[in-house]
Amino acid sequence: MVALLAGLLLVLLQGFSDSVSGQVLDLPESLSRQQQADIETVAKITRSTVCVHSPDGNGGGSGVLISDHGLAITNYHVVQPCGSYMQCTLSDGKVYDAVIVGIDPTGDIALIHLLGRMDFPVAEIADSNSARVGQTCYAVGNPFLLATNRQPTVSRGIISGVHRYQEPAGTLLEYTDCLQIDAAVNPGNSGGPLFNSQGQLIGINGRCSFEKRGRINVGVAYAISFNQVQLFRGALESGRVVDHATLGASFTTNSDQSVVVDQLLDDSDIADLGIEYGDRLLEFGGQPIETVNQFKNLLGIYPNRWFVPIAFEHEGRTIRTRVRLRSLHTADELQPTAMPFRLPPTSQPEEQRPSEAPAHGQPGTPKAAIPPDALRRLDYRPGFVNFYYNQLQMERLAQLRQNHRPTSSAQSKRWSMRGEDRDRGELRLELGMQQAGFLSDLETRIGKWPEEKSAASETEKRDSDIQDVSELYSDRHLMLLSLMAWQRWESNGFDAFPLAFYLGRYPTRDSSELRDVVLVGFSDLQVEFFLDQQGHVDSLICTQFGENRGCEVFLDDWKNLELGDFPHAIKAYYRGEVFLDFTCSELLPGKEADE
Amino acid sequence: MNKPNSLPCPKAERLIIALTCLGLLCLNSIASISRCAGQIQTPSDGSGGNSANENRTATPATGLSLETAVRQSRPGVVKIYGAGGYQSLEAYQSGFFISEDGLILTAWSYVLDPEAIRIVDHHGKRTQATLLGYDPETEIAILETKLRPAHWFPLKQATRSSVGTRVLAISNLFNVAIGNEPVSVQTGIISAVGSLDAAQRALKVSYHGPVYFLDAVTNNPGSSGGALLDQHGALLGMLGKELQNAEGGFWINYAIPLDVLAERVQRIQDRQDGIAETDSSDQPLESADLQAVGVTLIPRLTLNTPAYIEWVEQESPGWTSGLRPDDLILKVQGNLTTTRDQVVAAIKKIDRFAPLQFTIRRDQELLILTITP
Repeated sequence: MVALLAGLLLVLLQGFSDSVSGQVLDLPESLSRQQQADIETVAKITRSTVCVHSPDGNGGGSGVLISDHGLAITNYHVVQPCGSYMQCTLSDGKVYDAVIVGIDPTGDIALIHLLGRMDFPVAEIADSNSARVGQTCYAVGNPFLLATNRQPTVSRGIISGVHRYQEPAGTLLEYTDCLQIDAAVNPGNSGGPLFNSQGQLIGINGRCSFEKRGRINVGVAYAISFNQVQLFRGALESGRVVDHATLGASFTTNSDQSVVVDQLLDDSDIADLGIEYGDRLLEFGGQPIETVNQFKNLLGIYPNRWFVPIAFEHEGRTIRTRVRLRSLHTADELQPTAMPFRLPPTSQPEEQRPSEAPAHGQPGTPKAAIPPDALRRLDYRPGFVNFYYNQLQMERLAQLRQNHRPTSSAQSKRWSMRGEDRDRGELRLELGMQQAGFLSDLETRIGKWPEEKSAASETEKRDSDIQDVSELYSDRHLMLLSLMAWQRWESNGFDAFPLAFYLGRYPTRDSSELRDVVLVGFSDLQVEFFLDQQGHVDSLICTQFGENRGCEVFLDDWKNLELGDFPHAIKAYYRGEVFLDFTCSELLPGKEADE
Repeated sequence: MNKPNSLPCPKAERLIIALTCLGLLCLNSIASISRCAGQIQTPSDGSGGNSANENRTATPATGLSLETAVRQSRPGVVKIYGAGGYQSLEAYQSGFFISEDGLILTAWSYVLDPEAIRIVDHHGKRTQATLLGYDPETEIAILETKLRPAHWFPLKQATRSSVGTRVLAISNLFNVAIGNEPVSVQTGIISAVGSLDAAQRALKVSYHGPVYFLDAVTNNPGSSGGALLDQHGALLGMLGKELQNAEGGFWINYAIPLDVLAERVQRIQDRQDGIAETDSSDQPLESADLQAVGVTLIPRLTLNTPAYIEWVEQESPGWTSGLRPDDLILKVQGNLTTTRDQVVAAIKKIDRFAPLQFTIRRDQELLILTITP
């Protein structure tokens, strides 16, 4: 800065002497234009940059705003020492309270919520895959926690490498398909934004290669690609610990350099899609796959439950489909990562005021007093980082349900749908609160709503048509249970289930368009509801606890009827096979109660 | 191995970091001009040293031109894998093609010890290379491969670049580019042109000729042998080894200029045995004698016995010059000597009244000592 001023001074002095002799300063025009553009870019990118400070002054980092009501992205390792509440500053010089929303400890991402405004400056986001080596980039943030004047620091460099992989450090943390830059990144820059030369957000700076030179910039820093952050954003908004994924298959490189299936888990989604040992992997996530490393690198950017486009060669044919990813970690592995966000016990000794709290946040010591507005947004529950934000999403979806089902006329009724099945011909679909079935000349199945474990099975009425429900439910029964769950939700909302929470936004089996997903649990079953923008249930996946595969039901062709909106096309799949393809022609008024 | 770390900033570390930074900043302000000053000064200051070889009219927007330069020149840089792999001895470094028939220029180091050195090119193609020759003073080496490179850097038009020149440093630093990945690119400017001698004995190097000092942290594990290019992708030099100032503890980022490389490569290629050497003088009438200066070498056991010093008589000319037991004599009068026999032969060619100059290795240090009889 001093040098810059000195340079300017030099220019000014020269300009002065030049003007005396009647000449104009000969500063190349393109250079001054470029400098002006740089200054504007820097002004733009600093506005959305967040400096994160731990309220007890013990650490901090950086972040970037991605929504005008205050959602910001930072690193997990920045918020982890802060806990559930932190103080943030922006370049406007103001201090904002912020609370934790969701975390991705594997990908080192955290979503936080800055409070107090609905018009926060938001970063412009670009496709991070568009970054090319040699392009100018800017790292903005709070290195060495210098932002005591509330102004972020900007450093400039170039993209040094793309699609980099950085192995796990510690237990979970792993950077895959990340960007490598040579802009100065130092401790405190963590979680801060990486912008391209146009001032568009392309990454989150989080790691450096440190060795013998100590923990300072060595010209090699890594940013999580913002495309990866975007994949996790919807899930992070659920207030959960979000996991990364595995495919259920591993690959090896053949002598002809092709990438082929090496190991395959029998109960994996990819096995159901028909892939076999020795089949060649052609594309994953829309990218042609040339090496095993490249595949592993790409796999790391996805959350679990994500449906990823995949192409493989099977017996000379190219199969293009979408595969569902499964969790990388167990709940036991992930849950400890949410522990720092648990609020300290409320029964603190009265005499110990926050200002007297020790500077180092030992567990159990009260943090600086959390303002009421932040405190009411904090709700720690096991399995979640901040349940408040999950509830917020559930309330939003409940509101959507009201929109397409304005009356409670459908409540507690039996729905009877008449129509055609592709294989079975004429078919009737009966959906009741306790029992459901599909009836046709060829096949008739009836399924019962499972008893909760505690309830005695005294109402064990037996109908000859009822399939024997043993340990594992059949595909038909799972489908009927999905539809019954759907009917319960339409009638009573998610309150109808002992357990219901928001998972986030995910693509579906047949579309890359994102859907709100809610998971409900009852008995030993769980059903995932995929809801479209109107709040219609687009599809359902019903799985039994401990199983990786479930029955998938698709509800389509929604029409507005007197009772509300109803789907007129219902399809069900199990292990990739269609076993119901029903077109509804008539919805009959249901009876008042079951049976 | 490379263990990257995440970056929280605990309070305890801040002071140390701040102090370190202060140290670095001081170094910068003394040893070089800062980046900002360089950029503003050069275009408006037409008299800049070697500006003739630099097209400095209005440095264009940084983005696109650098991207193009990188795209074109990065295929000329390769990853080199060989010996090493324990503690801070990395088993990898960088290099670049200097001819269309696949010669590679790199740093001479222990990585090149194995007979078959592994090369991974820009496209991930793997091949083997053999050591063609080396120059022990500048510590550069030429490797021979059967590759026909997509891009190579001719060692011609070797003029010295000036301070303020924008540069690209291309190397496999920290072995970031694992597997088939292309190597890393950094940018900076030449902040000073000088000699590693400037720091006197604080730098343990054998080469004391001219180098480019860079403002970017280009010299990391694995980056030695990488290419230093101008912003249009033309070769300016070769990235040096990791170098730490023994007194201040700070690290030096430097590159050996192209003109030096070109001259040394020529010398290596001119020599049959591949070791660069200066002309030797004729045998004098009365030749020098190690015994006479109080130095005894270890016994000659084999043809290739190295020239380790066994014993130095106290207060002898050898002792006062600084020679000590266990020193390894590498050069006599600037000429490389790889065995005890060569040392003895070289000394025979020197007049007994002439000063004897030895280049010796003591631990990790190269020292040049002169005995005045």
